[in-house]
Amino acid sequence: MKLVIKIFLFVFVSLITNVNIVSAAIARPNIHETTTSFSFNKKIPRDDFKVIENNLANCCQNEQNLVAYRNWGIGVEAIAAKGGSNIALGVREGLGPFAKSVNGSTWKTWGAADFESGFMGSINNPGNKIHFNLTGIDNPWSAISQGSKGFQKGGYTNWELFQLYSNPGALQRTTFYLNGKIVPSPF
Amino acid sequence: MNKEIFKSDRYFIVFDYLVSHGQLLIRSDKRKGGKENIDIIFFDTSFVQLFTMLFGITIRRVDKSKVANYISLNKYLSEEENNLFEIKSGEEKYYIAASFVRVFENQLEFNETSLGYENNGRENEIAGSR
Repeated sequence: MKLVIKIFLFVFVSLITNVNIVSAAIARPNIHETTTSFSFNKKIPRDDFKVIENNLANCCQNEQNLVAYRNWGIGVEAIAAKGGSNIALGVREGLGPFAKSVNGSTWKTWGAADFESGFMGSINNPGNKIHFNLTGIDNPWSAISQGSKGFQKGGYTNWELFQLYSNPGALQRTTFYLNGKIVPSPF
Repeated sequence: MNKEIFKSDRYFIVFDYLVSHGQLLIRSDKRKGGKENIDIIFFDTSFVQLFTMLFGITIRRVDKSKVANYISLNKYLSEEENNLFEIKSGEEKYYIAASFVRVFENQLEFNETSLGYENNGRENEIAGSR
């Protein structure tokens, strides 16, 4: 009886061992095949995507950090707003008195050395308030159409208006005026 | 005030004007007296009392009351960032009201202007009111 049990155990163990060996033998070529196969190439982006997803998930797990980061951003804007200034824009005729009325500076201050970079720097400063005098501009939509061609072809003021139209952050900080009165944004 | 901004004994002519930003160009051409042009550019030019050919030039920023009494001119000059420039050539004095003046040296050809939007010919600034 003992002998029968021993034989049975031997056969059983041998079978299991063989299966493992076969599995290993099968698995290796499969791995190799997968790495070189076309389908594996397709699989990589999916895996990467999952990794990115996981990283984002991990990143967003700490709500406190996100709130702190957002508050930090708001704080930076608030500091910038404190040190901000008024930017006066509009056609040349009447720009001086308009700038004075809004206590603003014109291109003669921030654009004297390099107009384009001076202008972009001024409107993109979140602390700056922008005041645009529409007086003298018959059709703002026509003006931005001209301005979209660049200030070389469209003229400085049209280009300025186009830049504000294209930049929601700056547009949000812009007050429009017509004949000395505040008017709604034409856009 | 009255500080000399630029002086040259070369021959200058009123060369170009661009309506955008009121840019006025007075040039001494490189073919007449030098290897390079001297381009004097006034910005936001609002008043010009000037002979267009100038044999020698000295530019000063002067007291705003030095020129004939025009209401529009006085209004313009009442703004802090606007100035009155005296252009002395020989024994004669002329006046330009503008916001500021910049002087450049460049190699542009006769048919090329330094006015405009590309900053052509404005790489080498040699003097200015700011």
